[in-house]
Amino acid sequence: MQPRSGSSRYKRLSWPWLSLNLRPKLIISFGLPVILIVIAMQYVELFGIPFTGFQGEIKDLRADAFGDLSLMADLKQERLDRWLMERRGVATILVEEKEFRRNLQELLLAIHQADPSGASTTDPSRNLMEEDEAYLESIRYLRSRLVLVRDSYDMYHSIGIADARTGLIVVSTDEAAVGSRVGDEEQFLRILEPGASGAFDIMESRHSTPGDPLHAELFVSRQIANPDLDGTGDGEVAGVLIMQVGIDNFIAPLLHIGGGLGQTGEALLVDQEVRILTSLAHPLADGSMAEPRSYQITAKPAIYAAGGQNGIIISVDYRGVQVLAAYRYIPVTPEMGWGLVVKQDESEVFYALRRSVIYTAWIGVAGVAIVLVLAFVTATGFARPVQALANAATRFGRGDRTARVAETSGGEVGQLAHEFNTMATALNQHEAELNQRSLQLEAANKELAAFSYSVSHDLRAPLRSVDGFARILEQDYGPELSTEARRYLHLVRVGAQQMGTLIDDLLKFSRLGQQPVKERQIDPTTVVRQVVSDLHAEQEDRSIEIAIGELPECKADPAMLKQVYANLLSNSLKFTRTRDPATIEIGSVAENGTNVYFVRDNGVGFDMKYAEKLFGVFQRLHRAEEFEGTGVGLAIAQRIVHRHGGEIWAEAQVDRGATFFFTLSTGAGNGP
Amino acid sequence: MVRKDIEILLVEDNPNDVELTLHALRSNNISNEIHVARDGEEALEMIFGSDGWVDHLERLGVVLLDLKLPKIGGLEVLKRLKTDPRTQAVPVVVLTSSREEPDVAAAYQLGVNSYMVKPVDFDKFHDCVRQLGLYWLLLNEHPHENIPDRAEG
Repeated sequence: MQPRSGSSRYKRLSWPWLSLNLRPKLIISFGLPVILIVIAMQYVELFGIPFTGFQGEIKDLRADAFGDLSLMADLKQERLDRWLMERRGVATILVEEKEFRRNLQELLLAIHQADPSGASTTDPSRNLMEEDEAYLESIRYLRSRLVLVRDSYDMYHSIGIADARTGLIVVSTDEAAVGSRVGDEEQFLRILEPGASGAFDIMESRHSTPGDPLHAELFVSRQIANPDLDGTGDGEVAGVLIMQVGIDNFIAPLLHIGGGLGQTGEALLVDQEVRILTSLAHPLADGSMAEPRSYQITAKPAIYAAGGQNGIIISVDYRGVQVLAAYRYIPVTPEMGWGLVVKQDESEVFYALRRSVIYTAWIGVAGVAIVLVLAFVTATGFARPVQALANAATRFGRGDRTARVAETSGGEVGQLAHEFNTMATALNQHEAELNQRSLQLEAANKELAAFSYSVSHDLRAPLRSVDGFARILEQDYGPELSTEARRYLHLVRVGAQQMGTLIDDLLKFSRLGQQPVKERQIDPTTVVRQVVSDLHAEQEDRSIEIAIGELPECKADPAMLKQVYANLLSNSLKFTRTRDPATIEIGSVAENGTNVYFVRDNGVGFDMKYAEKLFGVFQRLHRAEEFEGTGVGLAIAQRIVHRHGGEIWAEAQVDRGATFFFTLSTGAGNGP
Repeated sequence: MVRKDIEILLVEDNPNDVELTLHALRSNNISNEIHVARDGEEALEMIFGSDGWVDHLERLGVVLLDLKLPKIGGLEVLKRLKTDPRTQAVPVVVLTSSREEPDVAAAYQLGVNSYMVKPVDFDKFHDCVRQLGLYWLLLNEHPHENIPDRAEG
């Protein structure tokens, strides 16, 4: 018994999560996630609930970006306006000078006299007036003034004066330009148109070299009236001041300074037809560089700006990239103006935010990874010794008596391992003792078997002699014996035969202890019916009512169960011999989930005070003359029931019948 | 009719049992010659000895064999008889007090012809011996009568 309950205790201990105090390890495996959760909560507290915070930040960033863009656009607009004003101012100062106008008048007069038709397209001033001192003087004066202006500002490529009558340059800072025509006819006529653009106009140069965006130029033209000699204040337009401005010197740097707009920040200027005035910061969508003054932008911000509007917008730019833009209209002349766009890629605006979101995500991922790794390492760390213990316990349970656990880990698990090993050793010892004992028991059993053999053989032989010779005496010498002597001889024989029966019953009883119980599921009703039919000899010439009630199936050795019923029923038949009719009831009742089988009769019964003697070997409650028997039947029944792990008991009253009860406990039929 | 020319070998160490058996046989009118061996060794000597039945086995009708015998046990005697081709056919009836299951099984495994437990009750014993004699001496066809090499004996 002891080793069996011991081994089941080991099995329960193989995964003792609750009974073991693994506190430090649990703190590590559960604490880490908790710490991380706390960190996450702080993070949320600092940066807001991630999603809404992100949305808010987008809004803020957008507003900030628009603020910056607008500021930048305003600044650039202001500077452009001022620059244009300056250009006008410079032109005005120059042409308003009386000396300048007088010299021009003289010069033009001289030219007109030399070429009254004005049809000559050659250089009149050089060819015709080389000798004219006044003419040369005028030229010198005018040129010196123009050169002075040109040199004062580092932006005029050339400054020249065209004859209003012919449209030819008469004097210029650039000697080579003298005699050439300013722009085309239409353009020139437009400059001369009185009142159309006042006395001042800015035009785009048609002379700029394609593919050389740095030399994009503007014409700043100013009508020059003759000195108001008659005092009417309405001088005739004599000539036109043409100031060729390299806009790249000022405008391109102004535009290209991204100042505070990040990597993708860009300012661009378009003319009324939305053609770019300067080179763009980025290549086009197809990878080519746009050509200033010829490439027409189709993106909304530029169109709006060129159309005379101011505002901000989120739109697609000339590259097809989503941008935030501020656009402004820059009026150049009352008729004409430029569009200014200051923009920044949306991706850059949100770059930092996106990065922070990505960082947050990565931190989260890394955190999760760390927790997983730590949890894995920790779990492995403390599961391994427990697992080893469980494995050892399993191996031990399956019969590997050498199974032990390495006592390497400390703490409770180590203690448990130590205890396991101690127990295993103790159990082995115990088992060895038990084996020893069972060997002894086996030997004792063998001795008992030999003894039974002797009893059956040697005790019966003399009995047979007693009976045999008494019989021979009776038979062969009967007539010579007295009646009394014959009676005694008869008694000798009865005694001998009785002893034979006793020996047989005793052997049967002792053999029961050695026979294995072969349990299987059986139907007691079948067994009972067979027993009743086997006992027919005892039922002859008697009035007997045998009632067989419901008998649930049970697990038992069929031969042994049959013996129990045989003994109980033959008892009942025996003790109801005096009854007419005799009634015998065989049935069962369920008590606390256990089936209790019973055999009830209306026989002579017995006094309950002898009930405990009932099942003893050779115990009899009735005198031999009344009811025969050796007193072994109930002892045999009890032994069988006990070997099935059940109980047997009886209830009776003298002369009012007896009831024998027994139970069969399944699965516990191994004990003797 | 009971054949008078065949003999019976009774192997029994208990003189009382010998006497009771003989009495039972005689009182059942079995007058065949009965030889008694008092132990296993003697029984084997009587069969396989120089003057034994081994040379004229047609005369040995039946061997009544007790199991618990001095020197050589009954099962050993049975084994010798049943493993020797010459004596294999001799009917052997175990007549013993032992009703132990292993004994019964061993005897039948060795080829015993019949196994009888001597009852304590003499009337039953008497009846038992009578039936035994009737069967083996009268009803049963003796094997050695039909053995082809019988001519040499």
